[in-house]
Amino acid sequence: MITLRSSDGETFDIDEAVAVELQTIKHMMEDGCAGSQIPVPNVTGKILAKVIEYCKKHVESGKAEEQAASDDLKGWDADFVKVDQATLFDIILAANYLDIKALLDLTCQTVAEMIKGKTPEEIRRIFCIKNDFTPEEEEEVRRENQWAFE
Amino acid sequence: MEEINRISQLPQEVLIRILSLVPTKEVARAKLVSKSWQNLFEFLPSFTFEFLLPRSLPPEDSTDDMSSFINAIDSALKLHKRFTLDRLQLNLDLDLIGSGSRSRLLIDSWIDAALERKVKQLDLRFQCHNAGYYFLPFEVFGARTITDLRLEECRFEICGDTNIDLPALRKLCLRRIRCEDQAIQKLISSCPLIQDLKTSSCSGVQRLHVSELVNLQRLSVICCYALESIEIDAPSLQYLEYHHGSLQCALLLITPCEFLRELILYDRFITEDLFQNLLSGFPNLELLKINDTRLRWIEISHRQLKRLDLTLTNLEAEGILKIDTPNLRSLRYYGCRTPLISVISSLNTSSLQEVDINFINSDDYGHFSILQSKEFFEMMKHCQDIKLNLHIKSKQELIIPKRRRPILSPPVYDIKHLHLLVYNCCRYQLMIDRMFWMCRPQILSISRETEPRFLKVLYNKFRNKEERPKCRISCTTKCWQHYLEDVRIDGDESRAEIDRIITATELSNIVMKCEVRFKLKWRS
Repeated sequence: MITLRSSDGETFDIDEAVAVELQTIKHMMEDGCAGSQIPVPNVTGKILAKVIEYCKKHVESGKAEEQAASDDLKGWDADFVKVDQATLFDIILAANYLDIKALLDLTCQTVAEMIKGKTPEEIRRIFCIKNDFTPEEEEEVRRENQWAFE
Repeated sequence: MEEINRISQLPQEVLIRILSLVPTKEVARAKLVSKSWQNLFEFLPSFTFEFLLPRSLPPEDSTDDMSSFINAIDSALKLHKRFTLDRLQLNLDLDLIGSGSRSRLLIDSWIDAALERKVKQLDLRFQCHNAGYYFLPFEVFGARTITDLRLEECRFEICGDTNIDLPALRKLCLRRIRCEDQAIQKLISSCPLIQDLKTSSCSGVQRLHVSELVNLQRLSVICCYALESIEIDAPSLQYLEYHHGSLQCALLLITPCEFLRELILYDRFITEDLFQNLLSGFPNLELLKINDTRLRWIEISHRQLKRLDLTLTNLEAEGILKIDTPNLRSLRYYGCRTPLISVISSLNTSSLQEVDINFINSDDYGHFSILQSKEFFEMMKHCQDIKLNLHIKSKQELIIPKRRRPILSPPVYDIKHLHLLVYNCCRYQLMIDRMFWMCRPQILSISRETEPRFLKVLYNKFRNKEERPKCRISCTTKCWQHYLEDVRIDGDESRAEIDRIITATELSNIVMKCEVRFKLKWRS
């Protein structure tokens, strides 16, 4: 059993089998740096709980080879990422820091789907991005990339 | 709640990772989002550049678009801020880009830039209707980092001196390549680690010998029209697809292989012997797909086979088809009725889950009796899914003589899902009656390609089932309406489609837009 401590002091006990999914933790364990409790300073308890939930689910399902189980897992993944934007980005940062490739792929793909098919203005609106182009600059960028605007 | 821009706070590598999952063209559009997003483009690990002429624009007005396209590729590759490039795909229409020496040098420079950045996957697709072909620089064949190479409609020259150095190449796909006969052969032989090889419409190839490729798992040879002989000796092969395509015979030699799981064969020149030997040489075959064959006698006997897909348009009514596949899960058949019907009685269908039958229009309907089709449903009753396309031409087939009714075995109730496709024929009412004599499916789907009139007749029959059917009391087996407890239209799409067909005044101009499903409840 490995114990992780979030940035806000919450502790989580997880099996070794789950802990090695978090590559950062795995390396710490291998290097012998893992003490009784491993601090995870960048990640709050709320997000760490989600991350651990994901890893547990995938470790359990990893044993099933059937197509039906794999379809079920895809469905589970799709539900897992149905969260508000703030949480989604927190999970991305956590997955990046803890080096959990599958979770990072899943969450990045989710954001990519939010971007696909949208105009620049729509993207700005979805992610609250400020337009820092002057109208002239915008016109120039548009002209340079005319081929992309059919 | 204050709206914060969280996405811009992500580490740059993560944002780039997200954008690399978005098509290149859209990332180019997204440059307009903000200045920081504009700069990210040059950090992308992969690019796919394709440009389709907008239909609305006459070619003369597209020059601005074209030049921005060319500049985009140019700057993306030459100003690229990464040391390595994962993937580059270029779809270039040489009629638009130009095929003069300036354009060619430009394309050369792009490929050069990609090679310099140790590109791993290189995908070059050209289109040249009026323009001449693009000649691939030989440096491509010395790119040590390439794992996936795909070339379409270009030319290259490989001669005895050409030094081919592609140690990392795993996947090679050549399409519409014109080259010397031995060029492809030499290319393949120089890449011993290849796992996936596809040659499609490559004219000029006369002999193809695939041997010593111990890692080859997938091989597709499609319509290489000049092919005279093909030898395949690949011990690790799992997937083989061969479309012969030409009008002259080619010698086909395939060494037995225990790992082959999928075999797709479109070869009109294959002989009975060759076919038999082929099957016996692949003990672990799971999928067999055959098309375009002239065989008169087809015997498929295989313990492991799970999926069988037969398109036997040339197998006449007198042709012989024998199938002995105890583990068969899925059967798809497109061809004449008689060969299949004669197979049905001996077919081991204990594992059969799904069936897709398409009978082609032929003159052998006289032999297709009610009893035979009844047997068909008996055999298929384990199936979860039956797709049936009947081509019924004569009303003789539809009438069940009254004296026969008592001795008919009861209809098959276990059919879960029957898909029906009915072409233009007469006497839909009789056909429906006959169908429900034979089987009582739980879900009935009427395929999109069915005549709408059939659907209308069927729907009216369902709706009027409360009316007393005129069965004589002396008849022990009553007609199906007695047994139908309930009919439901399954889904809003089906409902809308039925409404559309029912209310249409003139059915001859209408086609069905989607499949229509009914849920049927039968009492036994």
